[in-house]
Amino acid sequence: MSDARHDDFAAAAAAYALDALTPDERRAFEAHLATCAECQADVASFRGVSVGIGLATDPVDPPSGLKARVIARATGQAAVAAPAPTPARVVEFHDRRSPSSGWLAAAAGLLLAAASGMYAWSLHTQLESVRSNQTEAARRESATRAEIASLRQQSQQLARTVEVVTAPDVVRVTMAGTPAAAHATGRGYWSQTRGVLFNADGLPALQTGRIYQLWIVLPNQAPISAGLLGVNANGSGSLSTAPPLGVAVPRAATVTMAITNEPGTGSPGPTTPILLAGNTRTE
Amino acid sequence: LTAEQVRQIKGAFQALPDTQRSLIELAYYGGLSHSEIAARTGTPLGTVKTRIRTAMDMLRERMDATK
Repeated sequence: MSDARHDDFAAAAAAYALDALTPDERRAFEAHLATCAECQADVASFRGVSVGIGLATDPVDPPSGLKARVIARATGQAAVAAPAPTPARVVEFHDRRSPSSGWLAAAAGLLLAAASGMYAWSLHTQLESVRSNQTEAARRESATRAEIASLRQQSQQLARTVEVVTAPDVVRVTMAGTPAAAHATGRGYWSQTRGVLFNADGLPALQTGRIYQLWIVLPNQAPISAGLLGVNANGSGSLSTAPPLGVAVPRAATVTMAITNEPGTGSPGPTTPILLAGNTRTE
Repeated sequence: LTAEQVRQIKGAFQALPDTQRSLIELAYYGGLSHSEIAARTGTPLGTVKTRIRTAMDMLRERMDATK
């Protein structure tokens, strides 16, 4: 099908496969999709691309239970249905319009008016209920989308972690706190081809406008900045830097990693005493 | 999908112009609809739609080429 209506949807198939349509747009597109073989083929191939993007940036299997969680969430969403309508009240009255029964007709009229009012009220209530169900369904849908996005991010982070940690050229440094941060511990990984990965626990809270900076120190060279990180309330923080770092991972020399507390945008070189450090010799 | 196709998509994905790749990332990892992406990036909605479509077309071509 290639009519004007189809052209309106030409861009939608790609966005649909990426899950990037709003609920309204998606409903409109799905209605069209049901009747359009061209769009069906587009969606099928774009779904493949979408899966490919996931695999290409994320070579790790999703954690077990992920699928079940997503399905459960989706099923919970599907379970939200409009309530069955209450049967309309049927009001019957007999028109006995004899001269002496005018009051009866009037009473019946009142009854009818009351019944209509109740019926209208009942319709109104149902409408409100349908509306609130719709809002709830939209809320769940957006929560589900957010969860999927967050799981994709987690999965990508996990994939990156695995990538760096298993790199053939990775060096690993276990770091311990100096007296200024006695409870701090940390671990860093550096691969020339896959980047730097670092995480720490027990670092002191940061004052406003300050940040932790990770340094890689090679013999007879100025410290190289490997990135900035903040910490949460527990003093934990992590850092993941894309390759390359500008210097090669040395084959034999000792690699030292160190953390200092620096101004918010980082410094060209360390300006405060080291809080956390370690080197490859201790591995 | 074959490993070769995934490799091709990865290459093609990294070769996309920044403007297109970032839109796909916002949709895929950010969970944003294209209207939300348009609002956040200040890019006209029509442009967002076209760029996503163009990028997905390019990725699809690369994937199909290795079938």
